[in-house]
Amino acid sequence: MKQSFSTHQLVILIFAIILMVLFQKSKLDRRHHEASIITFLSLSQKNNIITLQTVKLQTGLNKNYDAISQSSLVFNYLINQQITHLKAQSNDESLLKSLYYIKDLIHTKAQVIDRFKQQNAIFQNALHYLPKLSKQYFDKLLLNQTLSTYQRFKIKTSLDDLLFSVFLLQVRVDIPTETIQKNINRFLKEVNTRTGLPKVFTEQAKKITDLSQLLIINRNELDLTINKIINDQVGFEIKKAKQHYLMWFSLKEKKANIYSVALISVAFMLLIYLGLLFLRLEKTRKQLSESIADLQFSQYALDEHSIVSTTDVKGNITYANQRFVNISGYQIEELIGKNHSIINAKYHDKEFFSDMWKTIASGQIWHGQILNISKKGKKFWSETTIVPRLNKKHKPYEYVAIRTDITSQKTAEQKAEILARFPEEQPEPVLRVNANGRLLYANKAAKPITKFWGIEENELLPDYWANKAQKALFHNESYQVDLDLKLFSYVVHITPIIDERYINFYARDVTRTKQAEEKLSYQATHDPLTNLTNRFAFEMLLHASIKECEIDPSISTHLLYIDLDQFKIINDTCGHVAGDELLRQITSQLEQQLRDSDVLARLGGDEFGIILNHCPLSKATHIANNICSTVKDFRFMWADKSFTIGASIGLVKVGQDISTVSKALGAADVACYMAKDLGRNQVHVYKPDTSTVLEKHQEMLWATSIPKAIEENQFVLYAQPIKPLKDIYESHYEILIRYTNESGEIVPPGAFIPSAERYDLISDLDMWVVNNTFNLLNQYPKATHRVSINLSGLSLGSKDFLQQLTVLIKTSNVDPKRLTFEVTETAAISHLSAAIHFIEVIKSLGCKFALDDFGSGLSSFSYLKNLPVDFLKIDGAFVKDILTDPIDEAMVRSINQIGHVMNIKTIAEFVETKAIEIKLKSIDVDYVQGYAIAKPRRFEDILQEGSE
Amino acid sequence: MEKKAKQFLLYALFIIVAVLSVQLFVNDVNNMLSEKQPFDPLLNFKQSDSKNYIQPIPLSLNLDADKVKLGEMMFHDVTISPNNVSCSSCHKLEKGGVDNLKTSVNIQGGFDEMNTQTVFNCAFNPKLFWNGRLSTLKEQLDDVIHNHKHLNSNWAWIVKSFKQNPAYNQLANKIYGESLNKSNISDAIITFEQSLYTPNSRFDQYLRGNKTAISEDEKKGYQLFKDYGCISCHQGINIGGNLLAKFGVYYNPFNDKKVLTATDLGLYSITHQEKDKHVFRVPSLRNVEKTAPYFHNGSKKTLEEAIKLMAKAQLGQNLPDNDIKLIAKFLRTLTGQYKGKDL
Repeated sequence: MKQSFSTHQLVILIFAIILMVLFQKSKLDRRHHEASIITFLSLSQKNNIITLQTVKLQTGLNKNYDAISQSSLVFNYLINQQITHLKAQSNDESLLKSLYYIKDLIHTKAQVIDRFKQQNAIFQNALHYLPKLSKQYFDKLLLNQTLSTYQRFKIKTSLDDLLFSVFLLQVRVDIPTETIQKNINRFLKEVNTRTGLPKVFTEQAKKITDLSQLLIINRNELDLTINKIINDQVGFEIKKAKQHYLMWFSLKEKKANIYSVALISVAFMLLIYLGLLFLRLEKTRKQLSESIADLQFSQYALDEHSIVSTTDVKGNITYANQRFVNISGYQIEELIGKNHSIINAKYHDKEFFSDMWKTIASGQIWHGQILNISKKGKKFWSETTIVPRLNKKHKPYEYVAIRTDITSQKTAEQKAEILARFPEEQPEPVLRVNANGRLLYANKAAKPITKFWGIEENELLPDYWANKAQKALFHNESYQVDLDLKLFSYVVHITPIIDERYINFYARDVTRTKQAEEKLSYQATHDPLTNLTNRFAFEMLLHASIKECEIDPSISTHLLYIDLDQFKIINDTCGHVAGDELLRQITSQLEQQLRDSDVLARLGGDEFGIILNHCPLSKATHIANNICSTVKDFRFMWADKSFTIGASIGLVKVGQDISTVSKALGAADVACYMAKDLGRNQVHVYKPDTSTVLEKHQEMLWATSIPKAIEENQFVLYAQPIKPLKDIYESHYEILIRYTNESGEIVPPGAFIPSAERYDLISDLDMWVVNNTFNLLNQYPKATHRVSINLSGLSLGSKDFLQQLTVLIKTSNVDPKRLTFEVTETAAISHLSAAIHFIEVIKSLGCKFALDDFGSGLSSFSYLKNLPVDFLKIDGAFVKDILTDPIDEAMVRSINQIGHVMNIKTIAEFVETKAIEIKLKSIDVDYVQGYAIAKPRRFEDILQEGSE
Repeated sequence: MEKKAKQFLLYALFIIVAVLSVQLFVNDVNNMLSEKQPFDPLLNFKQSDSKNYIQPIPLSLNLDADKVKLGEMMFHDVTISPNNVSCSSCHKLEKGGVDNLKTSVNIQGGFDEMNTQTVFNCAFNPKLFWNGRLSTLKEQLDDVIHNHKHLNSNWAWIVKSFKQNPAYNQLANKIYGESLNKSNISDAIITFEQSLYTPNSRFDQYLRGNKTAISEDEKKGYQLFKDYGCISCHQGINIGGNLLAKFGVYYNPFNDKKVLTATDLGLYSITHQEKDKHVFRVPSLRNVEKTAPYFHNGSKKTLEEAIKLMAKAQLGQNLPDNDIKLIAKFLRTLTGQYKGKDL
């Protein structure tokens, strides 16, 4: 039953019940009614029967009183019954009154009937006895002989007449009593007139007549009584009462009919209603069974999916499903009755649980995630919903806990949470923009950007960026856009996420890179010392200028090549700090002479280059001369000393013939060289047909050839013996380098060494020599030759070179004692501190050092104190003319003496004759070297010989 | 809550409807059953035949044997009265349903005013008691129970007393489906009284066509009985008992009496009407041989004496002795059988 009964349905029911009661009553009435009608009929009938019976009894047709007694009794019974029936049906007073009246009448009638019976009995008795008496009388009379036959006949006739008339009394109502009286009198007269009759006859006759008289009287009385019975009011009253009753009943019946009809219709309605109810009930039952099936399935599904348990209010487990058992690791018997805290992992604080209990105890549903622990100690997270079941007082009496194992989700969630912090923690800016160009998200690192744009989240990006974002989304393409702020620089990757309809901005902070780049590019293009454009940048600019001239030949651009005179001396004597200072001061001097469009660059050491863009020759010459005079006039002050310097300037018009940078530079260099050659401190304008220019040019070609030659091993090692002049010393060989050109000719070092030095290739050449010497020595292990290897000043100042050399010496099988390294005096002095360090390191390995070309550099002897060398090689210029020039001899002597004093052995170079050798020997020089002793030969050949 | 109350009310109403329906049905069934066996107070008159003076007693009546059994026990049960007397104290079945005393000894120790009438065939009497003042056995039973000279009891006493008898309770439950009460005790006793009929007398056999059932003298006696008009009053099934008559039509024997008792006045003692003086119920002549002494006061000890007085009083005739003898012989043929045995 889905809906409860409505009020009107209720009313119908009540109405139906009332009608039912009334109908029942009316039905009972009908039963009594039928009885009443029958009784009325019976009463009328009985009344008539009684009349009939009375007459029958009187006439002798009926011979006993059983029937009339019965009728009388029944009559009385019937009226009593009728009263009972009517009383049961109604309390209609008048009707009852009439019935009671009838009852009285019947009672009276019964008495009358009794009287009738009494009278009739006597009457009938007399009627029975009279013939008997008459017969006795007649019999006696026949025996009596005193009367004649006629007389006797006469008496008999009168007696017969009397008897006959008397008997008529029984059957005929209208017999006149006079006739009987007349017959009585006649009979008496006949008897009494006959004399002679015994007295008994007259007495007997009297008896007969008396009896007859009595019969007449009885008959009259009977008539009265019978009339009373026949004519009484009973029949009429019964009829009247019946009419009365029928009228009353028909009225009542009408009412009852209405009730019946109403009841039947209501019953019909009820039937339909019940039918509908049944149908609905059936439908509900079906739905219910379906619902139960659904519920069971849901239960099944729930059990399959979730961990379900129920507890009582104290938290004791009353039910646990299979999944609960599985995950908890307890048997079901272990769980039932135990408190739910059995699986508490004690991860949550007290407040967590008190809050939970508070919620469910108040009848509310609790949701939460709980960390539980299984029997084996395995922890698991469960998404838990606790539903309290409430009793009628809305107090919970049971809790149903439904859990889902979310351990993996939880772990993932924690991971995701950490991951979610990623963009925020990301040091690079990340932004998200929707399709409208509205900022959805910006991480912490993106603050400078949003601040720059002046927007917050949910505000529109600047049009440019909004357009970029929309464009990216529209074309589904990623863009990379630079974003420069005042302090920061970013590269922004605009990446559309098509499915989500938003755009991610991944900005990369390139501030530092950019700065580094700038610095690098500055460094790449500038000279750190003077902050002038460096050679590299200068060549680029020059290239551009040349191209410009090529395109437009009318443009006249000139290149100046400046080489400072005397710089080397200042640098060598006052130290490179002074040299550096000089360069800076010169730079500022030069800059003052230039136009804005001109480019000044430091090309190397003391060399400067200037591009005079859009400058005719006259102007260019003018500028060059100005520079020349400025440098000449410039006084460099260093340590209370004043130095004068000069500048040799080569001037070249670029373009046309001079169509490459190398050509331009080469030409300018050559021009500068020429200016130097022509007496320094002047300007020389390049002329292409000058022979010196060719030479210079050749030199420059070496710069490219040397690396190639190193690579292709086009150099060859030669060696020249250094012969001891004293027996105690051992001879050794100075290693020399030669170049084998394409045609197999041996080129002496003078052709390429200057180039190598100029173009900073000398260290590579040094290393090549060292490597190849070692290789050769290793190839000929039997050879015990001592070797002396030249090192350039550049190599001496290079830490890398020192390291490489150290490694080589240490790793090679060559005995370090066999090794001597030669450095020039100039090289050593110009890198004095580095040279000292270098020498000390190499010497510590067991090698020896020689100071080459001693005397040529105009250096002071005091340097020797600081340089821990083993040999002094006296400059060949002194040795060459020792026999003829006493100064040279003195120089050699003094150098030799100083050397010896300082325990340094001396070597004389350029010994070209035997005489010189002898002379040197006399001076007490320790070693000699030169053509007089031996010419340089292929080192390999020497080793080969030595090995044999 | 309101909804629940409503529902409860509804269920209650449904139950009422159901109960009413059942009641209705049961009532109808009861009515049908009761229509099948209606209470017939006039059962014993069913076979009345008015064409002959005398009709024989039916050989059997359809009575409930259990009721008869219960009524018989009660009839003989002295606990019906606080004075330890029963119906059978006066109506001794072995003595023709009377005590053969002139008048019965009453519980107060004296003699009763009237001669006890037989209980046999009493059910056929439409009038009861000598003065015929009652018509039904039920009325008679009620009267005799409360009569302080006879049983001196009351229904409450009887019901209480009879309830102590387990047999009564058992039978009452079996027959009536209820415990003992006034109406079922009354019914049981009356049914027993109805069973006290004496069919198959020799005269009844004669009436049924067995012409040799009675002797010639007895036949003569019957003829005399008719000729003298005795049969005018002594007719019907019970040969009397169905009408009232004045004692002394031609000769009033009370005229000779110096003191008249209340009973001598007959119906007059009830109606106080002159015409009812000495009016008595005509007694039944069945088993008359066994019910001596005769008349309301038990004044005549033999049938002959009674016949003689009757002839004189009602016919004004002194009958010849031979005739009286013959009539008496006839009267002795009226003795019937009870439970198949002659009384």
